[in-house]
Amino acid sequence: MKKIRILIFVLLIGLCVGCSTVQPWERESLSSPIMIFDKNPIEKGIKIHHIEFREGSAGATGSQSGGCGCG
Amino acid sequence: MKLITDYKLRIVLKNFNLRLLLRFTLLIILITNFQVIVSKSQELPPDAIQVDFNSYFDNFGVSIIYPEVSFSKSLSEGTSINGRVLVDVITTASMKSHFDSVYSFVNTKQGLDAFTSASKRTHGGSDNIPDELRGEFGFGIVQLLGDATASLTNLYSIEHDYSSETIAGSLSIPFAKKNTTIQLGIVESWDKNYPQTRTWTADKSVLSSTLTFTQIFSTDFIAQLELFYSNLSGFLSDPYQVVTVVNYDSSYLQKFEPVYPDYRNRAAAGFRTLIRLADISSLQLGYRYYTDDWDIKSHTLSGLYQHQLFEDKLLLGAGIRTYFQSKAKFFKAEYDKPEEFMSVDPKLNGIFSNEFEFNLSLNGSLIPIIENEKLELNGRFNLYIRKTDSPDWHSRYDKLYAFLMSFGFRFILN
Amino acid sequence: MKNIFILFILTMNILFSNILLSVPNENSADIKVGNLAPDFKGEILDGKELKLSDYKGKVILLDFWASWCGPCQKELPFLFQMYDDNEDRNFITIAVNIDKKLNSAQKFLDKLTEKAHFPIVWDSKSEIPALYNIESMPTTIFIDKNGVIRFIHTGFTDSSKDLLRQELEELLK
Repeated sequence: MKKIRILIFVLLIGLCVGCSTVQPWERESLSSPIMIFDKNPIEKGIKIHHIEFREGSAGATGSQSGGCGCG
Repeated sequence: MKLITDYKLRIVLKNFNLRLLLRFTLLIILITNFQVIVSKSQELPPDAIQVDFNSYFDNFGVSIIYPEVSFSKSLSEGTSINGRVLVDVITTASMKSHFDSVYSFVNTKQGLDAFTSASKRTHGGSDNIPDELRGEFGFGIVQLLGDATASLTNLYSIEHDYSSETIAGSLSIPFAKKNTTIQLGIVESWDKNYPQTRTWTADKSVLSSTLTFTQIFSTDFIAQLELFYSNLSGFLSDPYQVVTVVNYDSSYLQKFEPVYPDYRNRAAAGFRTLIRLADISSLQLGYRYYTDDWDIKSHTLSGLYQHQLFEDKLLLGAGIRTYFQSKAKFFKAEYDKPEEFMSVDPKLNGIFSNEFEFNLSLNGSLIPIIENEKLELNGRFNLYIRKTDSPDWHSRYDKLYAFLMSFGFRFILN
Repeated sequence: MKNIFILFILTMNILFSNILLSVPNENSADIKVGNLAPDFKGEILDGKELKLSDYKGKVILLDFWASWCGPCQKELPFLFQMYDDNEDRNFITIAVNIDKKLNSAQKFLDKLTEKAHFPIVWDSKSEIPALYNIESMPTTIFIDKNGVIRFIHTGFTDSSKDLLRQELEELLK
């Protein structure tokens, strides 16, 4: 049952991927700093260090991504 | 006996080879960079210097200040190097004693309550004199390989009773007009523990891998899925914590070092989205599930609202993070007899925590006199509240209130 | 642990199948080296109308840029310079700006010490980059005297400067 739920979740992600393409010239909105995951990775590293010292979990906190994709 | 020696030798050789291999790769990247023309269609991080002054204060009596300097510099069109230096100055880490209840019960008030890793004293008690310095030094290289970006980082952390070396590599590949990005990261670290209160030394090694999948669904919606797996082996305990075994019937009290299993497998999956709400604001929502073979399971929920003013010259953010954790299978708030595995570490206890964050980022062009758009000033304030299922082994508080503050600047050099 | 592994495998499967199925932009022409550059009409910053075909017989450098694109900000001053150096030859540069707000483009241009002596088209609806189905920002396309696409570049770095000058010389021969 759990596996089926995961399968459905991944299939949904897959379907969404297929139906969307943002063109390079449409990325003005994405180039804005509020549309970037972890704009300041150094600051994020410090925050994670503090949390991991006080809680038992680790990982899967995400990676820096987004931006205009120029170049 | 021979078997054990062989096994240890194999581990040493394995670690040695991996380290050697990664260093060799770093060298090869550096050398080939000057000979191979890289088809450039990605952007390197800008040349910049960043200075941050971070601080931490909590109601357990711990204060930490940690300034950090980092830089990034491009060597050529396809290569950039980066470095960082961080210094932790820990004050009052030798904590206040709250053992009075136990002591008054057995009436044996003698000796030392506890050490923390930062304590150099042979007696407990709190003061405001810095107890310890920790230095962290990192060097890394980012290499563009066509559309892909590869990076390799070597990190050292040194303190008087602990040292750690980390090698991290990552490869990021964009697809479908850069709307989809897959990133693979591998981190291996080797830690050495040589507590000053003990005569032994102990090693720990950690191998972690991360797979990140980012998808731009529209100009206003990005989602990210990250999978994490980590394997830890060796000395996973904290040599400065003390497990007190108390038998109230026989008025028996004895202190032990914590005993942990010498392996741990950890896995986590995180999902987050970034949604543009209006022209000037966005909302980030995230969920993470974590599990490990010490029976810790956790759920993390997070939200961050970001607002931009003066075009994008002033950014304001407000965030919240809520966290639930079940305790490790061998954790006990109090032991009545010695057991195979024993831990009183609050981070292995059942936890409910909340964190509130406010941050701002101001572009230098808005600052009178300076008026330099290459400068960016950053500030962050966090309030962290952690409630454990039972009081902390040493402070005897079940609620930790921590206040974190960070100020810094980033200056773009090119 | 096992579930996470299954999740990983399935994600990879679906991801790769989607990449293979990615559909090209339906409004775009067939843009490749050797093909004729599709004609377009646009409005330049001073309000006048521009038509690509009006420049037939000249070597054309067609550039797509935006104020929000980092490499474009580095490229534009170079294009100003390259045009000024070759102004009296049979050469024209047409820069297509795709900022949604004209004000953003104007602000960026005002900040530059160099000034444009060639037409800058403001295409807020991004019809021209869609027609040319560009892969990345900036994109720079050399069109020869016969209206044929001869070189296509995406991105801009210091080494692009020599390359662009070299290609211009070749086309002006």
